[in-house]
Amino acid sequence: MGGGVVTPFPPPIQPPDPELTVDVYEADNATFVRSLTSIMAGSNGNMPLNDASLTTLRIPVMATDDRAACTRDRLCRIKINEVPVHTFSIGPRTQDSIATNRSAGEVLTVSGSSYLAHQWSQVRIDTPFASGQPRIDTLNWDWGHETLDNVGYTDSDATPVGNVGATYGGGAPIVAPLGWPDPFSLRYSFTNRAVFRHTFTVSTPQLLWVGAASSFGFSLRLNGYEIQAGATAPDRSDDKLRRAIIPVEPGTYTVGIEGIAEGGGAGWVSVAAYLLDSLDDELNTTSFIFHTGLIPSTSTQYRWFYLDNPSFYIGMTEHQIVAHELNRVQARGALTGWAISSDDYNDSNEVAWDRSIQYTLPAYSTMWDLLVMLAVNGIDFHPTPHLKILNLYRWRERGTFHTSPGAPPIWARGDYVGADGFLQTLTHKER
Amino acid sequence: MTRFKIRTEREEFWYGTGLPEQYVDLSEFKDRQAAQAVVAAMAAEAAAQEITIGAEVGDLVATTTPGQPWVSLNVGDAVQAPTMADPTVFGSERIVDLAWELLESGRIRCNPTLTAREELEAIRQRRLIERVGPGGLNGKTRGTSVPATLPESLPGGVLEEYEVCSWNQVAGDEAVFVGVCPKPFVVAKRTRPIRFVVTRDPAPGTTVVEILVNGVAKHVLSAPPGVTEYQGFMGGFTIYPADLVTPSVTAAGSGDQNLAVSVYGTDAL
Repeated sequence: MGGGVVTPFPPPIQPPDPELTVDVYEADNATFVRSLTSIMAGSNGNMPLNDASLTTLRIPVMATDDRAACTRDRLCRIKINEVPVHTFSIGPRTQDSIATNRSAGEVLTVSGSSYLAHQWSQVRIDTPFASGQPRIDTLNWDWGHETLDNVGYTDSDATPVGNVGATYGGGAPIVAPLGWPDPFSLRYSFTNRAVFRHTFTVSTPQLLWVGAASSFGFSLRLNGYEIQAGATAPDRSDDKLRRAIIPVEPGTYTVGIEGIAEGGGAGWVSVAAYLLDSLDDELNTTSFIFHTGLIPSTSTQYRWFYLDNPSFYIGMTEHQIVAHELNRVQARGALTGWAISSDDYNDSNEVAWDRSIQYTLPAYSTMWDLLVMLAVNGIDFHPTPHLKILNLYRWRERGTFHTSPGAPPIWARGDYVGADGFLQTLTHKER
Repeated sequence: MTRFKIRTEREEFWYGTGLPEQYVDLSEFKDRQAAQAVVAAMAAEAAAQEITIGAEVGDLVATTTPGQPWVSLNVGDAVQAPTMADPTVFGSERIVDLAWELLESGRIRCNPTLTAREELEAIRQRRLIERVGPGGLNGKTRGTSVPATLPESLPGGVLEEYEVCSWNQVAGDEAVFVGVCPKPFVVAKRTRPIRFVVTRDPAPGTTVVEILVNGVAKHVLSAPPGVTEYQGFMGGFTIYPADLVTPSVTAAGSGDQNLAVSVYGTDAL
């Protein structure tokens, strides 16, 4: 035996950091349960824009701890190269034998949709009556919505020009024995088209009495919902005074009216509203809350805002719509902890919203339906992968598609990501 | 070919030859041959991958130094890609989805989905159409919204108007006007006056009419000169059954003739 060179056995090569790691959390997305250590090949998922991501994890059944951690409704936070990419809620779980890889034995397949879709699709925006009947046909967001501020509107109190004090037959406003003018003798004249809105607060459950008339057609709205509409020409519109009586709970309300002079030209509208404790109450100065114009004999200022002959529709921003409905459902205890990263004026990429939009959604719609509807019509949404944060963008404002269209990266073909998590080459997949 | 160091539940062993060397943790496997089969599959996959990449290198357009990370991409980012119409022309497309799959090798394959602007518009329209439910068009309404249906139990609509009292003195002298209505009206049900009409022809003067209920003035109408049909609204009082309603002329306009006073009310609120 010669004295050969002793070659030491090479130390084991350190395994590379796994590119995919999965942390399991309780349904609250805060209580850490376990990091899964035995995710198998074939696990897959995606992270689409404006849609629910679907994720499937394959875990060997023999990995007892991993398997036990994956119980229904827990959350799996997917990380690629330590960067969270999305979170899904564990839904269906199946256990299969892998015929082509018998040594792996049985495999537990865990799948689910994204956290956002899972949670938001379970919450209806509007709750039905106790009878189960829907309270409304549609959910509207428009210039009459109570959360819309009066930016862009003219304060009719500050500039009462246009308040018509004339009566039906001319002359001064009709003065009733109570010492204040009849509300419907005070009219607001406009050209072609005008929208008016008045926001007020109700502190106790009451009945809201709203009446309206106009020289031509009008649409009377409460919180965006059309409650009366009339086309009064060619008859005397006063003969067709329309009203509605609506029970109101404590809260903020907006009465809006849109007047349209058919064929163009001059028109007028007249609105009055009263808050009554019961149907037997009188419509008088006590119950009177506001009117189209300014009534000087009462002490209240009636902040009635108007747009004379607007050429566009003033609507809510998408953020206002989602935030309003999120607040409402959170008041019911749903979607606790969720927040939106955009605000009333700018999207999540600090791009100003477009306000001239109106939306309608069918009754029984869920919060997820709302997001999808808004995405269909003109926004992008994408959740922050590991937090209860929803990001809302003007269409195409997420990413660089819009902000740097001049020299985007050039598409390459190939397959995998680099070790640092960057995509080195890509596979083009046509829809 | 890569040389693998395989770890199973029971042992560690080398598999294959060549460089580089790679450590594979298959500690959930007990059987050595099964572990080898898995590693063989990984090696085959890696080999196939190398071939794939090599074959398509010609299609790559270098944007960064070879060997450096290509670029960081995320959902929503723009990329330039060959257009459908002409693969030699690059157009701006957008990443709308990033799908991933864990490979046997432990690496992740990403399959982004691209859409061009035109495609996005088409998808948008298609999704809008898909939201059309039976019986109507849901989704976005342009211009005006869809009227909501209020609960049926709530009163609403056009006020029901009916004549409570009408007094007509034909061709009378103005002095005749002053006084109470010769035909006082007794209502049969609870009524809220909603409209008052004073007509005169000719009407050169100012006529003031009071509406009395059981002798008490409830509403005043002052018809100005030249207005032959004068209206007032919303009296703010209610007439109950057995109440006596009497219009009363308190000031007769000079020269006014053919006076008629009508009170319209409703039993709805």
